[in-house]
Amino acid sequence: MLVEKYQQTAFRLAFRMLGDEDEARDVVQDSFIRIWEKFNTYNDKEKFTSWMYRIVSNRAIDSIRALKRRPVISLEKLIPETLATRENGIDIVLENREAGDLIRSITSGLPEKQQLVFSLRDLQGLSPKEVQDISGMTETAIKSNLYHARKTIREKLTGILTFEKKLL
Amino acid sequence: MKCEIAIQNIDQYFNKELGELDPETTQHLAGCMDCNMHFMARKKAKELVTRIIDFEPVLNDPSGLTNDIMMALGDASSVPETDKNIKPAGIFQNVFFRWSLSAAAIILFALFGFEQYLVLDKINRLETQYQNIPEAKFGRQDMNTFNSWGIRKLRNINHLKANNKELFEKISSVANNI
Repeated sequence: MLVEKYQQTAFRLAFRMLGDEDEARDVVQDSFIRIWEKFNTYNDKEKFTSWMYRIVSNRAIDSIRALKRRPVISLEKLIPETLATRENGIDIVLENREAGDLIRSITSGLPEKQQLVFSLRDLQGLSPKEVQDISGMTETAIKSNLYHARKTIREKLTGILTFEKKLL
Repeated sequence: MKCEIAIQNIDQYFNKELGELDPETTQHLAGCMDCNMHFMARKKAKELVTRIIDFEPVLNDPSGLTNDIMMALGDASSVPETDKNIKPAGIFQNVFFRWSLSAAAIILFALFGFEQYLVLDKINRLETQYQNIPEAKFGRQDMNTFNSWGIRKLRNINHLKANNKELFEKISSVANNI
């Protein structure tokens, strides 16, 4: 069944964009309704996942806009526990909640386009061509948005981590 | 080595613009606390981003999500027919048939619509000419006959006993055109 086959893939993208499990589930549900309603407009020359990603990312952006005022946990609080990768010799695996908080913190404040490109390219690991098909942006615009997104995130993290080191 | 250059080299190294740190920068890092802190911060930032990138979100209760979606799809598809685009049934779904039907309707309208226009136009012209005939030239009996017959009987204009030759010719020409 189409839903069973693709819901996991759709959920991963929605989660990586929203950083919230419940919101991601809602977005996936809405996206499948939209897929059902718009199925007659789907061009079978295009990859189904690309078409689905476009619908999911549009719904996720709508959701981000609606949740703009949602409080974001500061990176300063999140970083120490996230950086602990081993405890008593056991690997600590990030859980949805921690990873979600971290995603929201590092991407908060990014312009929509930068956030979309960063989620699709770096977090979801899609190829530049796929990002182009999904976002409708040119290759140059994707490169530029990705460069600025990475730079902002890097500077934000480095700034906090440098400050923490100085406190120790 | 100046701290500015060391920081620049560290950034280039983490941005993959440099393959490895040169010995001079490494030596500087060993003796400079600030540059060392910058190096460690960049290293930790990279580790953090890598952890986020490597993280695979877990979809808990996938069958629950499937059920929610199927229920929502059920609700979406139970919208009353009047709110949806109603699809034509049977042979009317055939695009060629629908196009043919539309074309036939246009041709019929053009044919009969134009013919109707011609008839109305001729009646109009007949009435105009009839009104332009001076009453003096039109005998009372002829007038009564003309009025009582109506326009369709004008085809038998010879039955109209017109006294005036000019009047007879005018009416004949109009009647012949009907």
